[in-house]
Amino acid sequence: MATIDEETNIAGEAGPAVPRVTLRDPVRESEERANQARLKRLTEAFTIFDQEANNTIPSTELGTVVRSLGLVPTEGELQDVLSEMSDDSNPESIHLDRFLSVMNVLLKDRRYQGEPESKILRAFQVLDPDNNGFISEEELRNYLCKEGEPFNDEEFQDFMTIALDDESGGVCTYKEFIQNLVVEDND
Amino acid sequence: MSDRADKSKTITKLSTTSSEKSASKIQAAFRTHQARLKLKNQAAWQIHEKLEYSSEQTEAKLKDLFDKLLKASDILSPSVTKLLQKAGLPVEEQELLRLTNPDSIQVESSYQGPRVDGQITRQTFIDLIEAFRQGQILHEKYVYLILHQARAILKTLPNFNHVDLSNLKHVYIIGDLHGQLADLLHIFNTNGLPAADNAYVFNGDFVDRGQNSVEVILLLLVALILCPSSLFLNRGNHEDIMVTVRYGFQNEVHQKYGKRKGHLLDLFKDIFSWLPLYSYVDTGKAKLMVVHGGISDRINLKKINSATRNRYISIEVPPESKNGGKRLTDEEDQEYRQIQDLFWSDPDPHGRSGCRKNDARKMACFFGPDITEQFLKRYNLAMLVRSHQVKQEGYEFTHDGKVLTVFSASNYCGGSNWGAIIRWDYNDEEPCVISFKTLPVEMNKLSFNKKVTLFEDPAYHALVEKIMSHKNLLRKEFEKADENKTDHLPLTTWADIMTQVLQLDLPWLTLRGKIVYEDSQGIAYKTMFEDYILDNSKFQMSNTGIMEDLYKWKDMLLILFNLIDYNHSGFISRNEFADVIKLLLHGEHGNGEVNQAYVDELCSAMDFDKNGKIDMNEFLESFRIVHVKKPTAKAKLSNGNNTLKIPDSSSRRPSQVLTCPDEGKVWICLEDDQVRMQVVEDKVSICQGKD
Repeated sequence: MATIDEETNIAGEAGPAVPRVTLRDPVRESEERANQARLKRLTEAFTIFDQEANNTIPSTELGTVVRSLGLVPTEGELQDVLSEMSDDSNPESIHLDRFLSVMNVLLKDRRYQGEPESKILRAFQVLDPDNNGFISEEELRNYLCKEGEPFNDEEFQDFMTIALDDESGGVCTYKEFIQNLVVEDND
Repeated sequence: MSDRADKSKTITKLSTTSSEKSASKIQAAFRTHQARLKLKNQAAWQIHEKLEYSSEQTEAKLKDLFDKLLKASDILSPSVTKLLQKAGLPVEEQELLRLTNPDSIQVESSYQGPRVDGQITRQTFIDLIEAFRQGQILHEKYVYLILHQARAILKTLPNFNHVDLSNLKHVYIIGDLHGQLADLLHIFNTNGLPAADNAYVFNGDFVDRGQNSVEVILLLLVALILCPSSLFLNRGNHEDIMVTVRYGFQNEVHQKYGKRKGHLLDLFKDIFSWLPLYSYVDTGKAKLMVVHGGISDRINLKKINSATRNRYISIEVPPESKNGGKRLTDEEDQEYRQIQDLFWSDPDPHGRSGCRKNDARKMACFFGPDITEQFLKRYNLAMLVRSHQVKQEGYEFTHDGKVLTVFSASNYCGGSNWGAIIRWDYNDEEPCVISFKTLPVEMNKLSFNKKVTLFEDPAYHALVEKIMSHKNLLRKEFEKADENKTDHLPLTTWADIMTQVLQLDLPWLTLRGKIVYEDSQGIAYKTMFEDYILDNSKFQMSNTGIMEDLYKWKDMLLILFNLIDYNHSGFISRNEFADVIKLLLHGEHGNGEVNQAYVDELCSAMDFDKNGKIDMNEFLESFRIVHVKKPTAKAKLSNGNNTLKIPDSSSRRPSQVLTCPDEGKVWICLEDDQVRMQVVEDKVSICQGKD
């Protein structure tokens, strides 16, 4: 869409008013808007966890903040993100500016997107090869606390609270609660 | 048996890589899930906090209104003026004591509750605790008995409590309790009852918001009667008749004590004004000041110590001048502001230096670390212990360890914070901080997910209410910004308007999924109002603008109603109502001009039975935000699946005051935080918290 400005002509002389056409680039504009929205969203998430209101968060909170935005990095991937953001002179905390510049790229490139529900279902089915439809707490403990990137006790407890939510008597009928685990694509 | 054996064989047969990978996927998905829950919880917490502050701004508006009242008392009928001013006046002592004389009250033979016969002893205290724990209500005769005795003691106290640990050996300092009986009982359970050798300082805000404000304050006053030399009470900003009118204490008294509550409230009002202003603790190695709110750059302790503290019936409303005039002298005004600072100030949330107006509460100050430093130095103090603000861990050190906030109401308003108390031993250099949580038994069984939802729901309801009461203004701004009339706005534009109009700096983009629809074109702002309507069927007027105005002023109207209906009949006359509206309008527009036709129409609409009287209950009932559509998930459909997620409605428990919600309807009672936030069971059991 073009708008017409009545201004001095291109040569800069105050001659007879020659209409100058400035082109608006709708694609560029909507990209710019998406960028702004992304930055605001990131700042909001950061600020929510910025307890002291001084534009920093402790490095230990980074995982929570990144994941709260819907990204699903592994612990290993999280370490990479952390090293990109942290400042050698102050390794214990992360500043908003570093956070924004790194995260903006990650969001734009849609990195660390979670697995779809079907893949998570398959992951559970690997642990349930007889296809019983459920896995016992003990078996879950064997996998989730020993393999992959193991849960600590607290994480496992929290996991079991959801996994056993449906009063199924000590086993995890995983199909039921997979929906909860999968991130909705609305950010 | 063989089945089991087969299974275990099967497990070892799995290739390590595939089970490793699967485990990783599940773990990553779960960790993200937990982080998102945490975010939801924090966001709900922020909403709750910011709304709480913004509703407390009514206190400041009320103060302004009273200032205007002084200047414009000619527009009001003299009786209303008198009634409104009466609130700020001390009750005449002889009359008060006569009207509340316990000896003149008989206890019915049908009364099954606890009794306080004769001398109040330690056994009385224990019996009362047990009775309250079981949910019993103390007969008003005994309430008067306790209040009379406590009042007599309070009157003899100086403006501050002197707590000397060389005698007392140790002291427990308790923060806000807000009527949460379970927390008080837990504290007594784990740290022992107050006694001559077990000292306690209670730092204000004993009442409001919780379900048992009456029981909490009664227990504290009984403790005072039993051990006046080791039980110390500081006044809080909620020990104030103007505040209790809105935040639940007055209602609780109404519910529990029915018709006689008028005199009971007067007695409480008087007792509040006699509570000491702060405590001075000598720990041996260090001296502390314990005060409810905070300090400012104008606090002069010498002046504070010599003030006549019971002149300050309410901290909202300036007392009458000693010279009989209505206006305070400069010196009196200075004193008044200092008192406000003591009860309402906060440490600056951004750690800025200096002392500035507290624009979250709209009165008193934000004080910086330098102010703290100066103050402590001036009075040779090591630390300032205060309360007034809820903290996630129940406590917080700020200003380089010189200010300690302690807050003792756990899971405050249905949230998930810890409560904390402090113990300081003689000659110790540091205090001991003890955190705890008490939960109703049912809550214990809920998963973290369900608990978050329970807390979230009231917070979002409150937010929706705020949005609805600004509907017109929001719509206007949206349409102005939507130049091309696309019915959509870019995300950041929408967020900015929300912040501006509602005066709430919330993470709007994070919250947007719960309040408005969006698509690829942006935020479909009109949908923000579609799911809820302000039900005005009771109001026979077509002008929804007036309805919305009334709705916006509801907080003020409530206070003014309660003040005018001094004999607590539940009615005010139409003329009195007209006066109240005029006062409000006068406040709004600052000049003397009031549209009489507008006032008339309002009065007609409010007088439902057309009998010249306005029924307060009907008035309250008539404000409802009604959810017209069945709640559906606003998120897009999940991948590859055609089922919509319906939020679990069984997790929404009606509180005892809200009536059971109809299909598709959500009732929001006007009694603000106490009702909306108390979504938990009212019978509370004491659970072992973490120490």
